[in-house]
Amino acid sequence: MKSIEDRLRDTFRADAETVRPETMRGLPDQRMRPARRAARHGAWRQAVIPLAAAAAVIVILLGSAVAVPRLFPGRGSPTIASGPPPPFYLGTRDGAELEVNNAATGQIVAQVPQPRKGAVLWIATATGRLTFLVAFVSRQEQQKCTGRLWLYRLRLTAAGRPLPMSLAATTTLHGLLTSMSRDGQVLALMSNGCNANPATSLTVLNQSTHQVRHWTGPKPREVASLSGDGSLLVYATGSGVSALPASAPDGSLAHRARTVAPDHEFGPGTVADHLRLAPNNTLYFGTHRGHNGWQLRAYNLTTGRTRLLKDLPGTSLGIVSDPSGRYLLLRYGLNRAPRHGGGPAAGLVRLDTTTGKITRLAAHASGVEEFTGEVVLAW
Amino acid sequence: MLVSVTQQRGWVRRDRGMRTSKSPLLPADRQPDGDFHDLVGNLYRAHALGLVRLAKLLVGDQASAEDVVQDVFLSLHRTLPALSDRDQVLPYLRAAVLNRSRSLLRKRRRALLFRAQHEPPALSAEAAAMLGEDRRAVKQAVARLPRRAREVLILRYYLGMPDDEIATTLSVSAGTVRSTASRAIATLTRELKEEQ
Repeated sequence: MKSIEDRLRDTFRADAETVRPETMRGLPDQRMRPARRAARHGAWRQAVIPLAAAAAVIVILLGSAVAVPRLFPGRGSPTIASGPPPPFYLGTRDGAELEVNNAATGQIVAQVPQPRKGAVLWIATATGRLTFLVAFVSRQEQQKCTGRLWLYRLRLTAAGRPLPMSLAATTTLHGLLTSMSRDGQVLALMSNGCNANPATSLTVLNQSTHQVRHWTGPKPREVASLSGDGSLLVYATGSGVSALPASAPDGSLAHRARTVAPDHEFGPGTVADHLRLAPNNTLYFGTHRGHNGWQLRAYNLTTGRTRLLKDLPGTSLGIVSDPSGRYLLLRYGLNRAPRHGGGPAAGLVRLDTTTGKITRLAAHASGVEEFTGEVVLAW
Repeated sequence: MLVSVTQQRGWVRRDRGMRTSKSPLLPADRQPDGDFHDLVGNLYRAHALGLVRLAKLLVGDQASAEDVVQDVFLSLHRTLPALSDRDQVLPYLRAAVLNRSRSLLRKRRRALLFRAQHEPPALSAEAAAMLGEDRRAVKQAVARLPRRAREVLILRYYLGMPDDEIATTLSVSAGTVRSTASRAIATLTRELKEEQ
């Protein structure tokens, strides 16, 4: 019979090895490691692992009552391929031309010709490393909350040069488009004071299933953001950050949504904004108190825990995640003395949330102060 | 290149030669220094898996363990310059994982006291199948031990650390490590015998 010490060693080793490189977020060279390990530990492991995996599948199929905690059913811990971040992001300055920028330096690589005259460049989302969906809306949409939406596919060459855009879909919108899923099939719309209607409502429109969900409630302080798969909607109100499954029945936001990160958790007078749901089950957002900087926080949908990732200067102007959720582009404003001209200057940095590495992106050779007005649309 | 804490505090914005208020975002003396970030990146690639596994033993679930290690690496940017000896880095990382795990467990206890928001971690079906019955019994018995006893056992029997290193990591004396381990082994032996 094994001694208690041996049993402890065996238990700790087995328990620790349930964490495998391929299930860890943000670990590179994942595919290489299991092969090396298998070779080192000999053939017996090659027989045991399939048996254990088969047993695990049976246990799962039997619907074991034991489960990893989930705050939002159906949103499992994904295995995110953690390669290098995509090489280019889409941006615009003052809502004018669409630009392709180098994500390592911030330099403009190319400008994308407007495919539809008179339409307004609105939002965009990355569908792959070099492919994007770009939404254009009619001018009426801005004024009356109703109008046309044109979704265009944009493909870049390996050098970042745009190929001609192709029309992917067109539809009529009733509300301001605030976010869309990565495939463009699920749209989030917000109506606030549209057509003289004082009520605020959020709508999620699934174009593939034709399902429309509609909720009313207090005016969100921050426009709603959809998860990449369109299954979850987040927004900020006066009380904090709330999350709502996109399939929740129609009704009141107060009843259907859950406050996942109340403002009071971060101290009196603190407010949350610039929400970004990343595919690694993390909701990134900024919190502010006064004008003395802001904090980048991460809410983990799997564990239900909010963490402070970075203390940053100025005020947050936007957070955009890469498809893995590991890398973020953070846009921030710096309050400057009037002699430096104009409004607040703004900067853009890239953050590796795993190692904390920050890279300043200088989109224009003249320096970060010229950055005011640039918006990152998709990465 | 490692920079001193004093240098770190004297952050200066280099664009337009303008000195601004202390900015934790862009310490200019680190901007051109790729070595520092490369060092952190290399440390992450070399040790992340082992540290997440250690954290998993301490906090019970992989998602929280990954959060703990991510927090440790994020804070490493502040503390690494103060570490003069690179051999100290791994012991520092392990101690930081222990501290962050304790902090997480404390928060979890508070959350359970005031609102049942976070469910205690449970074995996933796959993990349960991999562990087997005997290991599950050992794991549950370890989970019932006091916090320091758990930490001592994990450092001693998972990492194979000698008692004096455990003492340094936990900031206690080697005698305390030995007596804690001895009591924990006695408790486990008794409990596991009773279960059989």
